[in-house]
Amino acid sequence: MTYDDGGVAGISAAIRSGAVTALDVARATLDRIEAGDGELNCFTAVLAERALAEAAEVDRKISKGEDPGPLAGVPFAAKNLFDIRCIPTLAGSIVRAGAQPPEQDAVAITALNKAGAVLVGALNMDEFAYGFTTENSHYGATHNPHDLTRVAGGSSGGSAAAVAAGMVPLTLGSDTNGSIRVPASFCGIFGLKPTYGRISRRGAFLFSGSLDHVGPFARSAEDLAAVYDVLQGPDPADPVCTTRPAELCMPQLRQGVEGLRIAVAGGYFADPGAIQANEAVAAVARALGADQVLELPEVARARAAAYVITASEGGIHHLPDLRSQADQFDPNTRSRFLAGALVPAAWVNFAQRFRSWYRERMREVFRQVDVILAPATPCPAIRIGQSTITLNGVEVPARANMGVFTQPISFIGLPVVTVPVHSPGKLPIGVQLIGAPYQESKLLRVAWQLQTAGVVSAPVAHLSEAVK
Amino acid sequence: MQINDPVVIAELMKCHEVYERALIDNDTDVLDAFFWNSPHAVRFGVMENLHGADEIRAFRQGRPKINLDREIRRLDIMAFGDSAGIINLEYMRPWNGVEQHGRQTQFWFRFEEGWKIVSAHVSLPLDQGRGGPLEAAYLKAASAEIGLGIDAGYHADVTGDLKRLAGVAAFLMQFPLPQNMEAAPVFQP
Repeated sequence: MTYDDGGVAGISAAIRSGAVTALDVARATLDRIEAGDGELNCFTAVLAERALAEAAEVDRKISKGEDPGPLAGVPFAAKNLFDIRCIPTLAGSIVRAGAQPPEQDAVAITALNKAGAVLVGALNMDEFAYGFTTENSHYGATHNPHDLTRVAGGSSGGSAAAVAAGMVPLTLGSDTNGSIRVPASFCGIFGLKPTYGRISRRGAFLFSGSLDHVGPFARSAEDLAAVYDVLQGPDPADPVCTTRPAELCMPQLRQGVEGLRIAVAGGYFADPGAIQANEAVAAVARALGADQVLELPEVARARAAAYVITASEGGIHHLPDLRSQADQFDPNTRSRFLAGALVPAAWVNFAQRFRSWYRERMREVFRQVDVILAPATPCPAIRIGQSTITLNGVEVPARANMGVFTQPISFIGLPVVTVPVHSPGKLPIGVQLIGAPYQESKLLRVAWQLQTAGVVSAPVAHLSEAVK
Repeated sequence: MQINDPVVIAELMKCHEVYERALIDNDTDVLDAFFWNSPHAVRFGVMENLHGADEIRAFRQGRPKINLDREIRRLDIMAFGDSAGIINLEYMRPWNGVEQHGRQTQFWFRFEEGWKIVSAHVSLPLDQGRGGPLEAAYLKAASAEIGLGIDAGYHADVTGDLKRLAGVAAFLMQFPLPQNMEAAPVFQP
């Protein structure tokens, strides 16, 4: 029995209708992970016992006529920086491998469980989320299901690859500078980085608190909407979480895009060397009839400011461990955390103040438009171990530059849905649908429209067909 | 043999100017004509090792014809006798607002048909490796102030990252930010 093409909506509907039990779905999911993860390396923990118990509880509710929740029996997994009770929260490190396991799950995991979803495991990532490739020196690289010689993107690489390979229909990740959008692009799936503070981060191990977001990956717009509606809402115990009540997206999802003002980001975002990225944006823009090109203000400086804040906050966050056990850090992150701990206050303060300035300018932009289209990554998935890419005619370090188009957006917390564009004979690549704060529903409407028009899609990448 | 004969220096300067113009315009015919047409010619680029005129020509043909402009920060020309010269230069090339600091060395030899480059080497040392004495001194002082002992084996990478951060921050701080802009540590979008 396979459910890998069912998606969140299909699986929960089948379980609630009694066509299949949650336990059967959980078992099939565990089998798929067992079969596929040896090649992909997405999972750092598989929670078979817990998954089967949660699935049995869903089945029990259904048999008693109780409401099992909108995500009844949907298997999901979470990047290993989310607290999961009884296992240490690794955040991709070995520094934390001996940490006391948390007593409670992260708020986002609890919300999905409450809605009936079944947690099956924890997923690989760049150490402490400081990377765009999930080439983790401690736990190995996560491989791209479309081409096993290539990276899955990062830092939520395990989260994206597990969905792309159809092992689970839903995962949780986090995004500070692009860590949901970059792997969604490389793995050819849908990803939602909500407005900053829209989803509670409580129980997620932070990287750079000023910029960290959590959000879901899935294989369709309606799956993202269903999950997002479960995740959003206030959390008084998270100081960053908004007090705004939830604004449900599912009821508006199929409204179409009429009345939405959609424009394409030009200038900085139209790198002439990023050929496939530009083609993907053009295809999406064409399908939406978006012919206006917008110049956004001071984008390169927004990226610079995000870079400075990330380095500083990341370094300070890990200062105790850097003092006592720097040698245990991943060589891919160590020197950047050490350097970040030494960043002068003048730079960080300027960057934070610049953020306020940039937010004002972008608010003005969003008085003219509702949705901005931009590439998610400058190129499709790079090879594992690849050190440089060519951008704008210049050879630049690959790892640092995968976030060139994502960093200036998350910098001011704007919501983004990444939609996947697949072309025959090519690796997939993502397009960012960028909105004003709290306008996730508009982005999901656009994503649904594009999906319905056949311009974007996230077919399961069957490992038997992957490049090896 | 005269070193740095002004007449020879002037000739090399002229060659340099024409070569530089052709480089920025990506005029591959001119560039090829300046390179010694021999299997012994060598050009080490930032990313590529090219041996022989054929490999050098093929590389130029395949190069993206965008963003080749660069600003020369320092130029040193030396002449040894009337048929050998070395041109060293440092250049800056912006990428997304962040300057790449490169350096180039060319060995020129005068053949019967004129001056030709017989060997060249281009590199981007500061962006790819380590910081300089400034970063090393800063690392030492700042890490001591916060009680962060950094193993000497990591110094090269950390000073390199500091150098990169400093470049990014310098670009950021050129911005004329109004005084009334407040930082927003708990940020309301």
